[in-house]
Amino acid sequence: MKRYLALSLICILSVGAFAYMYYHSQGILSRTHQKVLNIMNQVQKSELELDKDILRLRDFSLLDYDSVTKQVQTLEYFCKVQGPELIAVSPETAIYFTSYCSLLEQKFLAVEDFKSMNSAYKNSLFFLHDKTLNGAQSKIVSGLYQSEMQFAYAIMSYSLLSDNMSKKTAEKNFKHLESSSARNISIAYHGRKLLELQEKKEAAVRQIISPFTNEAFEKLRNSYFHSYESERKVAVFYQRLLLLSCLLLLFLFFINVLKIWKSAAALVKANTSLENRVAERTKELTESQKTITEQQQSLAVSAKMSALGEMAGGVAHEINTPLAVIRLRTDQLLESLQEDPIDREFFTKALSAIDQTVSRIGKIVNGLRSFARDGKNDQMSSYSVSQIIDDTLSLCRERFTHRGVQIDCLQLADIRINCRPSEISQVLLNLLNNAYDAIQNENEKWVRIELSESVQEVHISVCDSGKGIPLEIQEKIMQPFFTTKEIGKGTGLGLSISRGIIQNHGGQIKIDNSVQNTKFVLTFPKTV
Amino acid sequence: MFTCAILIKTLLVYASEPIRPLPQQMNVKEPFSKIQLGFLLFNEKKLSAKNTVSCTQCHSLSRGGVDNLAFSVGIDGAVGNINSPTVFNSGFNFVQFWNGRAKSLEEQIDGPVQHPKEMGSSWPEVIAKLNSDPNYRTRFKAIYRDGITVQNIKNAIATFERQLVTPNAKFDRYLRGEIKLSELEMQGYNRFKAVGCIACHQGQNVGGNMYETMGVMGNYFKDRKTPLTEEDLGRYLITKREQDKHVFRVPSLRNVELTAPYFHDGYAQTLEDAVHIMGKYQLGQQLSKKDFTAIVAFLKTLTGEPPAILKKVEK
Repeated sequence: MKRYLALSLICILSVGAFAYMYYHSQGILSRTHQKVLNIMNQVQKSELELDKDILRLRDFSLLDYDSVTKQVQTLEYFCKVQGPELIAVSPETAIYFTSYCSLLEQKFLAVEDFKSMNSAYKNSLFFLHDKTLNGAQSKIVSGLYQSEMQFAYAIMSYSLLSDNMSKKTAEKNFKHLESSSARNISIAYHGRKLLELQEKKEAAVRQIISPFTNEAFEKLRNSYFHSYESERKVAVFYQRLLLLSCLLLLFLFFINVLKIWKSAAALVKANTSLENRVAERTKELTESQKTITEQQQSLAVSAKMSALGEMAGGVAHEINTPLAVIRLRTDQLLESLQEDPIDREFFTKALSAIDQTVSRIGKIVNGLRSFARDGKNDQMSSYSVSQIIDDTLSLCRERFTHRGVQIDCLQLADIRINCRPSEISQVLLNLLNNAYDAIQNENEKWVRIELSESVQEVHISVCDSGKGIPLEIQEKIMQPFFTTKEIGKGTGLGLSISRGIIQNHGGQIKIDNSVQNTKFVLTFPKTV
Repeated sequence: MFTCAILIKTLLVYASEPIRPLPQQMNVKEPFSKIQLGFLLFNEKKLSAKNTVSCTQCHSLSRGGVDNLAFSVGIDGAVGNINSPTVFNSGFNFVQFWNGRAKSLEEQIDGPVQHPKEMGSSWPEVIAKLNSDPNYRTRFKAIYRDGITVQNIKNAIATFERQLVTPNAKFDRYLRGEIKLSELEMQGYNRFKAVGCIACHQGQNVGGNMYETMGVMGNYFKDRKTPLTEEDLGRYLITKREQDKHVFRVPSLRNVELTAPYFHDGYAQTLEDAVHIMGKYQLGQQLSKKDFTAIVAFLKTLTGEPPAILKKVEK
């Protein structure tokens, strides 16, 4: 979660950084710069044209102020609209721009003044020319006409030269004209006007064509180029930075791609080797599994062998006791044959005891026979449970009694179940032997077998006087090779094999914890 | 070769003349809807405080662009203090108003709308009134992105005003070599030039491109014998320079036949009066009777056709 937060933050920051760099890399666009160059050329041209027009208007008679007006309007448009938008981009340039425009303003005033004065001047000049040099010949009054003529020439040269000498001459001639004229007031009027206007007009012209505005414009232009250069440098710098960052990003990207590709290849390789190892292991395991199964089988066989061995030992013991009885009785009989008279009652009692004992041995042998059969391949068939219990007891009763272990058998019912009797007997014997081993050191030694039934089940329970099996190991005892006996004394297979047999019969083997003593319960479903 | 000769003759005629003909057709780059909107606004009485005065009251489109009064009448019958110049061909003047205080037709509109004796309104009022009219709202929205604003109103009206051109005056046709003037008219033009009227009344608009003192050669105001008004000071009101006292914009002489009375104070009732006064006070000359008739005849040739745009917008 934290990683994603950090990653997204980095993403946003880098996007912001890129946008910032891109924005600054634009600087003054070349299009705008070109526009500005064009405008500045136009302004310079307009000023030049204006000056030329003014001079032309001063010197020649053709009067049409439209062109001058157009130049002025172009320059005004520059000052009001184009300049502020495009040129006054930095504070420094703005200052030069303002000073240039204010100089232009003054120039414009001078232009307007020039127009007014020029028109009035030209009118008076033409009037004078008209009246004196052209039109008044018919009304020659010699002296007067002379003064008018002289003044006309003087004023014309003053108009062309505009110097003090010409001015003085013109003024002198005018005074002469004024004093001598009553005829034509208007001539004097015009003359005065001419002198007045000539000076002012020339001053206006001088102001218009003075280089002040040109200098200011040059300063403006230089300042603009200066700021343009610095802006351009900044823009270029950011462009380069942007390019570098892009390359870096691309580089990182490629490195990552390479890494991913390599790790993908490694992954594939690791996968294949893993697959191989797994296959090998599986093979090993299958083989070990086989070995184990074989070993289990041989162990089962050896367990059964040892059980058989045990049982053989038990059976031997069982047979020994009746055999000892027979021997005792036969010894007694042999002894009593020496006596005279023969005690017939004693002989009958002893021989019937021998007979009983022989039957007992027969019973044991029978029980053994039925046990020894490997009943695994038998069909299940209906047998009396009581019979099975009896048969089993006969194999071990003597041993138990010899050690002082009391056996009780509670048969609450006589039931038949579908089973393999030898196998059931094996299970019972196993339980009995376990009980026998467990209560060796107890004060009370008894084993109780109960046979009972419920509605659907048959219960055989084997209870001994032991203290019960601790809960922790109750599940474990059913597992193969688990034993609490000393090494060499038990295989640990008895209960697991028993469980297998009971489960084959559709039953269960459980420990009943409701009593303090150890109680194993076998449960079988009833046969219909 | 014949056409070549005519072309050369045409060029020669007016290439060297200080007066040039008006263009016969305006290059209209603006959409017609804007011109029509300008026309509507020009006739719109809501531009005034009590919805009584529109531009046409002083610049009537059917009377040569003027009201033929010495001083115009504004809101509540208030009489102004200066003669209304014609709106026809006003786009060719280099400044607007007699004292040149407006540099463009757009700027000029500020004057009458807010003048207490003319329309007596204010821009917020005007905008509110126009906004309440759905017709104006839709028209403005169709042309301008930001709807009804001061700038857009001015732009629409000025665009319309620029179309009010009166081409094909008799004199213009003469300049183009299409016709010949009568002998009297020709003489009038020659005298116009010789006497010196041409010094100020020159250019495409026969005037309207310079300032000049009223009374170059004599004190017009003293001889007028009526009290001096503020307007009589002319350009001095704007520049505050002594030399600009009584300096006015030189008016255009086009359609002068229709725009009586003349001068900033409407003092001259007839053309003859005007020529007489101009001759005396501007040229310092006593013109002969022959000169008068000739010059007046010439001036009458400067009347052009009514603006063609009016027929289009009135549909």
